[in-house]
Amino acid sequence: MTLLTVEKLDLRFDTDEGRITAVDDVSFTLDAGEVLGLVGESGSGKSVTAKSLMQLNPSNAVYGSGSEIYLELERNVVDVLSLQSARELEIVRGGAVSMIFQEPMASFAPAITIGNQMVEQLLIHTALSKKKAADLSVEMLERVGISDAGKRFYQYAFELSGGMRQRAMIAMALSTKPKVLIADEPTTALDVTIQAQVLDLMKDLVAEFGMAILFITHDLSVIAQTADRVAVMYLGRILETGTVRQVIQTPSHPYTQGLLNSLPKLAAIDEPLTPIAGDIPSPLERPPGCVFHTRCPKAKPGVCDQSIPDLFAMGSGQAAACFALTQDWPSAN
Amino acid sequence: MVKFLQFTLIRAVMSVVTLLIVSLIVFSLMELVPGNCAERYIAFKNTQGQVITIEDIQAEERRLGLDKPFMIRAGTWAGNVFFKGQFGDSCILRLNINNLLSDKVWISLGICLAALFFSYLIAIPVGIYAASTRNPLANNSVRFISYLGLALPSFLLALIIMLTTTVLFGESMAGLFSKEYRDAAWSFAKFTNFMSRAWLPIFILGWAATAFALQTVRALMLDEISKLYVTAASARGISGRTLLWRYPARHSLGPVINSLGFDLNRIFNDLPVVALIMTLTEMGALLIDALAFSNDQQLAGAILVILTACIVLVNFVTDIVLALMDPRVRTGLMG
Amino acid sequence: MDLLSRSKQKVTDQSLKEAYFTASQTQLVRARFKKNRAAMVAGWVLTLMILAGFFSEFLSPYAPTMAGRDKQYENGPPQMPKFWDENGFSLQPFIYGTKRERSIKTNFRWVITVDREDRRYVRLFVKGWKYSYIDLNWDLPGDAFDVNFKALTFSTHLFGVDKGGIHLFGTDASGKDIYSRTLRAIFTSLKCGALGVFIAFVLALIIGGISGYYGGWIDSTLQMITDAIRTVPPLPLFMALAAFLPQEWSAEAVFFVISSILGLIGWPTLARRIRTHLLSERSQEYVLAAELCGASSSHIIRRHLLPSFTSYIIVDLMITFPYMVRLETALSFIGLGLIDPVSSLGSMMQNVSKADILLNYQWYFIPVLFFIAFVLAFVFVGDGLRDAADPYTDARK
Repeated sequence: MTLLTVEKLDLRFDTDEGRITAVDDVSFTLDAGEVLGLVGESGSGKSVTAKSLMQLNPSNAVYGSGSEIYLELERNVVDVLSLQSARELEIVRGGAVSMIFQEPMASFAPAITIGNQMVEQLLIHTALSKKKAADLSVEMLERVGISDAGKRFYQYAFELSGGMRQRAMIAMALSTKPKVLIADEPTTALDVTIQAQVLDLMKDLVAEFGMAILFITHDLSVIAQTADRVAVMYLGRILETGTVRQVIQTPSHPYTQGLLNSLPKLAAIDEPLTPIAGDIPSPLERPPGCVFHTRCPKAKPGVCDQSIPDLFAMGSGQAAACFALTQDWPSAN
Repeated sequence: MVKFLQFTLIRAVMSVVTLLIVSLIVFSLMELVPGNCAERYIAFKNTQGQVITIEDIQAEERRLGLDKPFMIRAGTWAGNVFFKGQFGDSCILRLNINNLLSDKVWISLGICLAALFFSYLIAIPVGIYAASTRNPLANNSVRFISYLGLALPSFLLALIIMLTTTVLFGESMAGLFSKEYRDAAWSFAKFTNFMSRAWLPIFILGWAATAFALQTVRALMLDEISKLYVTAASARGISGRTLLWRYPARHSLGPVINSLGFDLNRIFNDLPVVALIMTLTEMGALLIDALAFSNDQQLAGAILVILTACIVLVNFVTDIVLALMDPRVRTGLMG
Repeated sequence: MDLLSRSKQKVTDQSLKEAYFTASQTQLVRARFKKNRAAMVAGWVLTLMILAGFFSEFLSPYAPTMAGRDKQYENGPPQMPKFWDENGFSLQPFIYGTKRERSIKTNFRWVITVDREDRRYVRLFVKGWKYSYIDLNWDLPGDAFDVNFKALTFSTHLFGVDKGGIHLFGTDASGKDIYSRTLRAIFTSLKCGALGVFIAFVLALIIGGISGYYGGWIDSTLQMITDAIRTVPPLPLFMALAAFLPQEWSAEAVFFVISSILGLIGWPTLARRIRTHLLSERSQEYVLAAELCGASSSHIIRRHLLPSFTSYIIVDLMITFPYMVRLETALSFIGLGLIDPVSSLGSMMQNVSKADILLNYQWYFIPVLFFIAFVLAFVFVGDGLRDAADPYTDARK
């Protein structure tokens, strides 16, 4: 069952330097019980895309007129971008959609106890009494593996360890039983050993609660561990999508191939790394045509810098936006 | 709790050290005035028709302890000020300074603290609103007012108000009391008379402080609003006033409280000049009198120390309040 | 042809892009500053005022001292040059001649009457009182050490009238030209503020630098002293210091000492900022790297730490400046700073403290407006510079 549909999402920021395109023609769907990984370098627009699901972007964000985001709840379908006031947005923010941020320390208010922040959210989204909300919060803290949850409830974020904080964040995010969980680099700030624990915890919870996760990361190995499907983003566009297996084992877009090649391999310690040539263009210097053509080894002048390639379906769900995959691409000369 | 007492004690000791440094500076300044008290005393007696010799001066110096080394005199003076609360005699006015200042100190402090209170009463809500609104008109006017607070110093504002009221109403708003109450004992009538006039100096003294506090509150709020925990809170569905007051406002309160001492400093800074223009015969005008017109170093020193002591006290209290407010410090101290 | 122009276009695009990424800090600050319209306007106002201050002698038709007084025009209202009146049009602007009389009819006050038949024409580049751009006149102890050196002496002034006097902003009670005095006062305030800021800056750099670089107990001790001085309200302290100046000192000496006191009082805040910045900068890896390479402390301070916050220091100085000017003005206003023969904004404001002035001689307030504009321009420019230098800390205190 499809929970979330994003159609032709366009998003620009009005800045002093001009309008900056952050998300360009992004479409994807998310099914219940599914984990969709959104991969990309910093500045690829993955976080902005995720925040659009709750209209969390700063006030200078302008959504394109054709953009549509639908959320299918039990009783009705919510058109997220049509919601105007903060009160209308409550059903999405923290209700149907919850979000976990990269830095658990910074995402808790430093001078409010963890318990109070959890209860506050529950009072907004549920009809629970204060007492019941507190009980549920402690229960959730226990559920995510925090020892001594009753005591932690009264503590502040700075009194917890990094892994513990992220667990508490997850507990808070899940306490309202959201349909979709957005995890924005949830493990980047954690130690590797704790990363694995947190990832396992998240996978368990998805299974248990039957919700969908939009997992944002720049780390392909984390994606390989967690996601069912992947979308690779670059400069605000999705360049390739498919199941994890397809994208990682048979990448078809030159960018995805480059990303995978640039990963250090434990099996081949002595081999030099092969980074993608060039730098990410500045957002003010958005390349015309295919956004990746400035760094693409296969780029053809007159083709790739002229028009934008559509996603080309490769069969069995995999698709990539590259002219080199189409019929009329001149074979190597 | 033990740690908290320890913390308070350390803060108290630091405040005392600050005061000691300040009083040493003030005492050194007093010493800079040409001619010591004995010479002045004697010179005064001279005008009364007595014949004075060098021996008389020396005897007088011994009597006042002026023959002792600098550090001992400084120590004695500071000791009297801190332990006995005695500022000694003014050798120009030949009066006890404590008697001279007495209730004037309380009136001046009352007015200054009222000015501080009102400036924050205005600055906090307006600053928070200005930081949270995207309305350019509100933002620019707040900015302009805070700039004007600097460019239109209180003494100019006082002057303009004084002149206009005099010209328009024929009666000047000068002084804290009407003529008939000036020397009267405190009574209900005198108090209402005081209140009906005190608002103007409070407004003028609070003017610059409000402008600065406004800028502080707005800047601190902007800082807090851009933090991740605010985004995280709105991602949880918290919105509107709850979001604003419970999150960024609550968290910027600490630094705002921290700036109280500096704003009191600012108000004291303006006090003497405003007092002079408005002919408030309270502490500020006395200071100018003591310095500009009679070189009365004891009186000037006493006033400087009192003003500074108030600021040090406010800083001490805000430090403690801050420690209690910040859960990090609090849990560190209280366990 | 088409191809050529297109490739040229591409080259300029490329170089523009290059310019953006390789722009120095100064260039970026300038570019950002230019976008701030309020700060730009303030910047122009400030530049004009500073220029007017520097060329005040050239721009003033009369000396701002008693020497330049107009005995026939005491307490005279401002005179605005006109091009026409009921008697016809004139290409050359003119003002009217005035007469001064006192009789039973005028209640025995001097009253100035305007004679509309008597036209006085404004002339440009007239010869007038002499002034020198280099004028060293020090009255040091001992006659042999007195310095009296004048150079670059001129007597041309931008404008004047063919007969009588022209007073754009009117005159004061002794007939001194308020326009000339205002320009001079701006110069005095600039000079005083600059000297004060300079002294404060040197002290702050030394004390804040030592404190921030060495840290530890040196830092604690210095911070304690700095904080103690910072708690004393500056104006009362300033008054206490200024009151001890001997009455018989020359105007130059008083000016110098007043400016020095400004510096002596102003350093703690600056020192604290420098220290805080140094402390945070010091723990950066690049300092550790320099230390590991065996660089000496003074080398690290000079070559690494100071350059890391020059723009920051400049902004701080710019923000400190109006405070200095304000302190000086307040002090002069109550008669403890620069006094009447010296034209300073404060000493000129002293004249406006009577209701009589507001009723009869409103033009005395013109210097007050200049003072407000001057400080406001400084604050706007200072804030604009701060925002431009550090765009991510919007309007920090």
